[in-house]
Amino acid sequence: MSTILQVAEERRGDIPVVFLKGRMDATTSPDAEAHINRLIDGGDRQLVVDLSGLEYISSAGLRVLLSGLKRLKSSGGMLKLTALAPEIQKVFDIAGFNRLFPIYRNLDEALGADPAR
Amino acid sequence: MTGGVTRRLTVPATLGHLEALTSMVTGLLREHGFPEKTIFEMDLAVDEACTNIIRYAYTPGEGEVTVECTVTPTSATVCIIDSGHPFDPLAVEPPDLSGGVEDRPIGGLGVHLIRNLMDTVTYEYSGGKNILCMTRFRKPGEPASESDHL
Repeated sequence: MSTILQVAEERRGDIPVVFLKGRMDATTSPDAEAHINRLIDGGDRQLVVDLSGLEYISSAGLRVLLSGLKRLKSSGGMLKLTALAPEIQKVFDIAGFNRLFPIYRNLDEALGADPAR
Repeated sequence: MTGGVTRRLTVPATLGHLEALTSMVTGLLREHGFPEKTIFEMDLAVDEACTNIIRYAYTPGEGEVTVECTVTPTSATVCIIDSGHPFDPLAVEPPDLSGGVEDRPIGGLGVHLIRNLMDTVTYEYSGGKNILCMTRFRKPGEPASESDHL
């Protein structure tokens, strides 16, 4: 199992998509946080985070996603998530995050959905 | 405990040593054929408990944390031991998950995850040490081999 987190970014039209791959824990989450904060600081308000490659997430990773969502929502934006593996989804469910984030099955659905949702 | 195998590791309480602790546990469970779902959840519970100790139990850069993992044919138990400030994670109030994004505090989820993922969790302060023990039972019908990869 991977012990690192790879953070990649790709623009789909105007929307930045952040791909998180590997392990999102207390050691690796700061990289994802820095990346998301850089996009928000740069003026992006609609963000999609693709978790299809994510094998593991701890509360440290949840915290990074929640603080990104808080920043975006407070300025009229949104952070959408896609492609959660079943175990990742279970962590989201226990944490109650399934009620906070718009979660889509795949990237196309997230990009096609109404950004105001 | 009969028929059990125990592995123990003590490291300095720093984030750089976290992976050695979780790997020791996941490696032992994998060797003994626990399902990947159980391994994932044990990994997460150990990570959360150790991260709390590393962040809050000691003056930064000081202290050690010990993880002791015992597997039997029917269960996996991990005890996490530190000599830091007495702290009972089970006394922490469960977080309020009902609010919206604005009300949701950043943090406080680690213990909540542990409680929900483990079958039993116990805490005691003994001999100047915090001892947190967490058990997952192997459920009847659960595969005994790695046949249910994520």
